[in-house]
Amino acid sequence: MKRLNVKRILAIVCYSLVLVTLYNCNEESIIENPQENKVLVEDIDFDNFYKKQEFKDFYNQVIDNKKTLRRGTQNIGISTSLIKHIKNKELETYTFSVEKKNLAPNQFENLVITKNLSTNEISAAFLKYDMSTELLLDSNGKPYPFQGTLEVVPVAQENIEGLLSKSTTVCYNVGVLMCNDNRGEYSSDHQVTEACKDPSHIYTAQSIECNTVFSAPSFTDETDGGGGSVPIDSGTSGGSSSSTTTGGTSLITALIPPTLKEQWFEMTEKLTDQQQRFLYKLENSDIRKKLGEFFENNNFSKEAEKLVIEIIEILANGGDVDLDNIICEECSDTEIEEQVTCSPGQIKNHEGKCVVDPCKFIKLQIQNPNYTEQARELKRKVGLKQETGYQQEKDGRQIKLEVEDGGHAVDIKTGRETVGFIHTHLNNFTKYNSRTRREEEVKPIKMFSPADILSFLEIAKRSRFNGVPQHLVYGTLISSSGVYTLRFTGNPAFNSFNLKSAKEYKESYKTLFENNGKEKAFLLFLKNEINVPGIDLYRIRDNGDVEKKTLDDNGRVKTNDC
Amino acid sequence: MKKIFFSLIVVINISCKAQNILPIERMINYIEDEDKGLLDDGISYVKDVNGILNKFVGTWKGSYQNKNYEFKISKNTKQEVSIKKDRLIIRYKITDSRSGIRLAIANTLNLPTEDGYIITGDYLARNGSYVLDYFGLKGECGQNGTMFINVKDTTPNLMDLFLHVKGEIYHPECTTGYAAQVMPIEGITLTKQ
Repeated sequence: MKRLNVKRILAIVCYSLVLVTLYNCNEESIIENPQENKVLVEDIDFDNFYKKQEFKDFYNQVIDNKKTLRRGTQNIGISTSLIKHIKNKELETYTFSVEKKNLAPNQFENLVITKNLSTNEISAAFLKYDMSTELLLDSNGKPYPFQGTLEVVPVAQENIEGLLSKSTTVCYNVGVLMCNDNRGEYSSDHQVTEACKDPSHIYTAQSIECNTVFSAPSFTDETDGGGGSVPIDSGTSGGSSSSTTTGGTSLITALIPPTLKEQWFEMTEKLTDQQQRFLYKLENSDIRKKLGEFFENNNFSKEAEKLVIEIIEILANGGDVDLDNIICEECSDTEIEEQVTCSPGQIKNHEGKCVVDPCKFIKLQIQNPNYTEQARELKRKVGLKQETGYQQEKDGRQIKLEVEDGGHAVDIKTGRETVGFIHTHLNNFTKYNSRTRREEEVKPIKMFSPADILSFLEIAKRSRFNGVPQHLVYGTLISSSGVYTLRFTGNPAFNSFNLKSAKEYKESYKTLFENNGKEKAFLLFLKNEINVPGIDLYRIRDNGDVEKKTLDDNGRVKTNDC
Repeated sequence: MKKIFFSLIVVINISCKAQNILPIERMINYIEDEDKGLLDDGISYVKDVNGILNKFVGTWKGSYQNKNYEFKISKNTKQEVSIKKDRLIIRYKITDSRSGIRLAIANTLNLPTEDGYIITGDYLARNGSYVLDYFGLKGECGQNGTMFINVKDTTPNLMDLFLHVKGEIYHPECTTGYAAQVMPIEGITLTKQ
């Protein structure tokens, strides 16, 4: 008994410690790292970066007009919309994403400006990422599993030009913040957000990268971003002539994800498993790069896609193709034309692109006996004191949604192959307070909650990769004051960085529903707070009529029949 | 003199119309009518005209299941784009009541008013309870719900409080699984300090 008590007290102390730590994290965005003492990781905007005089001076020195940087004969655009600031006791870095048009669809770059806090020396380098697996934007958290080649290219700046002219090899000791939260298959991720808050899961993966400045990168170290540490070797690497090593320059960074080319991923979806494995092998980086460039140079046309798939098929079967001389006359002919009118069964989405009209599929779904049975069951259950619902998988399975112990809302976990969900929001009900013997009335909002919307977006985002057609993705709500369903006609490669935290949504959601009727409040919440275009709201009437709900220019709810 | 008096009344009338005040005890009508919001009736101020919220204001303490609770309730006016709202907000500190453990389980006493961890008021229920929105320090992992507080006129130094747990989990933000509740979910009677 005594031992039990000690155990319990220990557990409480540990739990309290974690709580206190997390609380601090949230307040100051500081992530405790047991190996690095304190590591600050935060997203900042350009104005805040530009306020720091020494960084401002350096930035102006290497980057023209706040936006472009010259590398050899190229002008490289720097995106200033999102900057990742990382600081530990030795280094302070700012990571920018690079807008570079001639990168293959499976490659991207970040620019990292680093200050060594002991010497006050500032330097900059490009981190070039070449993925050897898909970058899973849709994994269970926001971190991104990255496997592939990481190459570091120092940025030439005026004050080290003399040094550079000697063709110096610069070796960087790269410390990349990683998160290992034991999520199974993808257990080690690049740490990009605060999604990985648990300090025991954050560590720094070390790698050494050397490059000869002012000549083409002569050395590229194969780095497995998902693995552990790479042994540090301070010796000179690379094949440059008359090179000297500038060792000890460190870099600490986190990846800023690129805007990936969805056509590339759509193409890879059409490959067999064996072909995909071949394409994403580490040693096939060059094949990916060349095929990607070819595909993009031909405007991702259908003909080009066909040819790329054929080439992968040949190569995967041990054949040979001259990738430097791919000739395809028809490939570039089919340029992407702006469609003036959409084909039957299509509608224009917010970008003016023709997409599948969800109306037909909503009607088909609600005529399906499985759906009608489920909807009938759930309508009977809106009077319960706990929500009920189902989650549908790609293979047709219907998984019952669970309510956690003591809770009243279903947990919409969604998996890698979830198609959609349907669940109830409850009628008003009385809750009895057993200690004070008082009855209180709970009044749930009979519309999708922020958590419902975020789960729906997770499913929509995964439709890029899992073969679930985007127009079939759904989120449905059954309540006594209406049945509503969500469909997604936007771009599933939307930027998750724009989404806020649950805590931030709380107040704005409540306020909108106090100030407006529920449909208007919800549409305003989607527009102003979630801000991912293409989430469409439909109301399903009892007689089977389906109505699309939108906001007109005056902010009134407009109802159109499907 | 009569003219001045008349003008004054006119001015007061105009300013009243411009303000369009809703007494806080009538806010419940808008909560119950889900197709109508305050803006639909041009409400510009949800006001505690009758000082109903005052009895809740102060520091309240109590114990429940090995935890000590301290709730600091204050009244403020929230300024939105076109509406002002009088409401209660609650900061709190929860500590383990057993000896030897002094760490706070949760502490929001020092957080600014606009922080999402502050418990913010919604409306006065018809039974006189005040209803608030709770989002705990692990709010994304199920520490969320509706809080009810009630002070009887006959016992102004005692306050009933309980949390109806919604238990909603936000994916993918919640990475640690469903969190244990730290608020008194079966109710607690607190004493005014």
